[in-house]
This record gives sequence, structure tokens and C-alpha cells, in this order.
Amino acid sequence: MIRHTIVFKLNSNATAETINHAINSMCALQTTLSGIERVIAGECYFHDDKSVNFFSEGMSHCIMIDFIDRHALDNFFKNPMTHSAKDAVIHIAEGGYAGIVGFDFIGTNNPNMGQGST
Amino acid sequence: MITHNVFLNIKPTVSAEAITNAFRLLFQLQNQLPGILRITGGQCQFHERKGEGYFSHGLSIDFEDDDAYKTFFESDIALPAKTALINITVDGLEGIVGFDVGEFVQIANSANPKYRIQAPRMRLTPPGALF
Repeated sequence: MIRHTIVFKLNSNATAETINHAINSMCALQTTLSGIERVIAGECYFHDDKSVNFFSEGMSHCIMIDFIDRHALDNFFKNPMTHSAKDAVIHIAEGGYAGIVGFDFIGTNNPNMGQGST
Repeated sequence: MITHNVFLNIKPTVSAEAITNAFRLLFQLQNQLPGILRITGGQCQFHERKGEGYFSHGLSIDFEDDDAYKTFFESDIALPAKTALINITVDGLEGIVGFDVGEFVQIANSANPKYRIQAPRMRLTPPGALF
């Protein structure tokens, strides 16, 4: 499994409706795109003061997508079916696309997870 | 479900073996503590170099519920993994930051207006918790 995480801060124009639309659109990819195990999304709750100071300038929300393997992750990056969901997230992110940070975990292998956990 | 995310910068002097060992201890918790659905973690690969340098490694733990989350903080079983990660982190525990995503029974309402103005909210880890 590969967990792809994207973080962003809501822009001032985001409404409950546009936030829900963005998150629901990303979650709906589970049923339309192959190789997605789950989507976890929501507001970030920071652990302590230092975490608030570290993160809060640039992020308030997070979307995590678990892919079965690298191929499924690549499909997420390239498949046009994802565009509307991605556009919905870009629409609510401060700074648009430039304000979104994405990362994966590499270099480890959890024996409890699938082959794609590296 | 609660997803617990932790991020750190690993000391440049730490060996690859020590890093592997710390994460191995972490991953073992899935078989040692109840209510852990999955654990993933390792070196952070940032896309398009955005965010690069914020932190070098991270981990993400999915807990079934609040009880499992609480056990992770209170059980001594988790200490070897936490200690191993702290030992390889720049500034130790002080260098570790994180956030959770999920539904919570109780959400800390900080008196600090800073937290009310900014969209981010705090979900304080239990007093004395390592992370």
C-alpha cells in the first residue's frame, strides 16, 4: 500500500458547500478509479503548540489516499477521470494548485501491508 | 477512525540501519496493540519538490477508535518504538510534530484566540504523551 497525502490550507472563499464537494469528490474516486483502497479526508487537528506553529501557516486540511501499488498511484496522477475532483480541491485551497503539498512515504517496508508499502 | 500523522527530521549522522530498526519497531505495534488498523511510514517523497525540507520522514497510523488511540499513548508496549524514533530525530521529541484527522469525542477548545482565528484546530495529545 502507498499512502499519498496532500495538505493545504482553506482559502477565504471556501464555504461548507465547496469544502464538502471537494472532499466528497475525492472520496468518490474510490468507486470510479481502480487501485484505491480508501480515502481519508478532513480537518487537521494539531498535536501541540509546536505542531500548530510548524504547520498552520500552510495547512488546515488533509486528504490521504491509499493505493494498492505504484501503478495505481501513477494512474491517479495521469487519469483525466480525477480532474474534476482535483479541480474541486484546488478551488478551495489557498494559493490554488501552488498551495497544495503532496507527498508519499518511501524507503520502508511494513510487513503487515502489501507490496506497495515501499 | 482516527488517523495519527507524525513528522520528523532524521539526524544526518543516523545510520540506515537505525532508521530501519526504528520503523520496524513501529510497524510491529500493529500486531502488539489492539485497534491499530494500519501503519505506514518512511522517507517523505515530496511531489514537484513542494514542501521539500519541511521534514524528512513521517508515519501515519490508523486507529479503529478513540480507545485504540488512547491505548497507543498509554501503553508501555509502544515505548520502544517511540524511543527509537525520538533517538534518531533532530532535537528529539521537540523535533517531532504532527496532526490527526478524524472524528473525535472531545476536541480541545484552546483559550488562545490564535487557534480560533486560524482554521486549524488542536487535538491535544494526552498530558505526558510522547507523540
